Amino acid sequence: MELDPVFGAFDCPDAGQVAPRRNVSVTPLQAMSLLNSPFMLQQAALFAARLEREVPTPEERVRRGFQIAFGRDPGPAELEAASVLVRERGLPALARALMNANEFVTVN
Amino acid sequence: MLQRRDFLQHAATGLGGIALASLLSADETKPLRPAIDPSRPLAPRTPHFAPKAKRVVTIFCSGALSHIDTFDYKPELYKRHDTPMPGASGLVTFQGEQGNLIRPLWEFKRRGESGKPVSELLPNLAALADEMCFIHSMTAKSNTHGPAENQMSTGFTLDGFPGMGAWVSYALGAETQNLPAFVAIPDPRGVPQVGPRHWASAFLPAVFQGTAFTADKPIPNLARPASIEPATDDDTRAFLQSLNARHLAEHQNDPDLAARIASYELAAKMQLGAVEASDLRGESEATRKSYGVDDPNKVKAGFARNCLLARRLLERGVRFVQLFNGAYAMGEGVGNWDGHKTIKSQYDHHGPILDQPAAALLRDLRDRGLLEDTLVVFTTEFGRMPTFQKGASGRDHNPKGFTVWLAGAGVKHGYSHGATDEFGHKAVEKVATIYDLHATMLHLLGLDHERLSYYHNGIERRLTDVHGHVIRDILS
Repeated sequence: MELDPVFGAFDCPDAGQVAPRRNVSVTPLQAMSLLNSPFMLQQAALFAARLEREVPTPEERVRRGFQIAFGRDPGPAELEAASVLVRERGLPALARALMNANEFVTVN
Repeated sequence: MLQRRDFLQHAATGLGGIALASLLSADETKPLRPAIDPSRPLAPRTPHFAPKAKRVVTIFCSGALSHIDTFDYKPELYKRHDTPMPGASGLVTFQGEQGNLIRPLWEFKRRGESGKPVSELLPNLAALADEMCFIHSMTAKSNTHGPAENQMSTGFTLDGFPGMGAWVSYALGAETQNLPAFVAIPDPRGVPQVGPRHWASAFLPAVFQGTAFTADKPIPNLARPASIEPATDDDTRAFLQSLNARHLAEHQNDPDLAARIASYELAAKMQLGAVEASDLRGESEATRKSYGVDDPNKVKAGFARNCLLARRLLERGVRFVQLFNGAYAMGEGVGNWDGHKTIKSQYDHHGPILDQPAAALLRDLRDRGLLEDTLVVFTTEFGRMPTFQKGASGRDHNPKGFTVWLAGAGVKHGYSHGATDEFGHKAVEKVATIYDLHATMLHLLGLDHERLSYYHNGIERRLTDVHGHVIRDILS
């Protein structure tokens, strides 16, 4: 069995031994995988397509993106910065950033 | 007759006594788990005692390299060539029945000042015999590639245990933060049978797993994807940073969040560090030639570039480099040392791929003074039979006796430890186990193999399980 490269970087336990509790470690390879892997780029594109499908305006898409990823509305400064990013770099750029954010990746 | 009730009572008191004894015993038997700062998990850590070696490179020959035809000279095989092995009538090994004893297929010559006989299969490595410390009495627990590979890299034949490189980076961190602490360099032809299990972290935190890349195949996802414009990437990262900064402000004192932010900074450093380390263009023509990086044999040139990459990584402070020669998926003996049926033609093909590049690495490490504090370990999963398989022109698996060698920091030069019997079949003198090899490697790194542990599933796990003795005879 070869560990899937997406999960292997994220402490996916080896199925060859029992693992009562999963490790949590933080590595640069996780950052690279979340930023640059084909899997994450595909997910960002799909996330962006969903936002486009569900709501009509850029501002609503930013709000919806924050709601889906973080379960909250963006603050005024976040809304402003996110809108600039979407206008200049497109919706997939916002989706890629949201899915790399600590607030999305970790549970507090 | 001991009553059940009495037995239980005795057992209970007995166990209590043992527990008390261990509570009272001195601290030096207690498990040692390194203290790891979650925001800097790869920061350098101090070993248990003064080390001889600061870093390790292993060269693993996939498929089981024949000790009979390389490093373990047995004159008796010439005398008894093509006759049955005494005491082995009806012997069945991995693939079946055995034919007659067959003398080494490459000529042995005495080498260097030590006069060590090494065969002409690997002439460049042979020329460095004076640097090597041979263990001729190595034994493996399995006669099957997968489990035996597992044992050589993880100490266990079963799947799911951390590789030795993962243990070492868990214990010691790294001397560089611009590169991974533990790098696995697969052969240009592919990976051994258990593939990434050689460098997996298993139950150790994933940060200690080996990062696999070669001179020709960079770290996965290292670079910005071609589909994303540089300006888009910069703006996305800047926006991400603002999101994370706000989040951190709301969750002060959370080391995991700080660690995640640090991991993005580390990733950026690694993007530069790995590209710099993998760029072989700055190497002199003499160096490139000595490794054979431009050899017309493409596989040899690829392995040569990997060997040169290994030296560059060690120089830059990588703690553990695991270099592989040979791959599994191409089939028995085709891309690896598994010479069952036609060993002569297969090894004539594989020998040159391994020999010049690996020898150049050892010599280069020596000439640059790196061998002073770098340990080189040359291994394979098991040896091969002194007989040919019945009806074939190759040798079957033999875990009962084979050769590995070490060189560099803390080990003797031009020295041979242990021996197989007169045919090279079974280890008979100073029999060594893979546990012993691992215990010795950890010892050279300043680590007590009985104490370096990780608590998992109710057990203080060790690289050496509950076994292993440091092979003191080979220490310099």
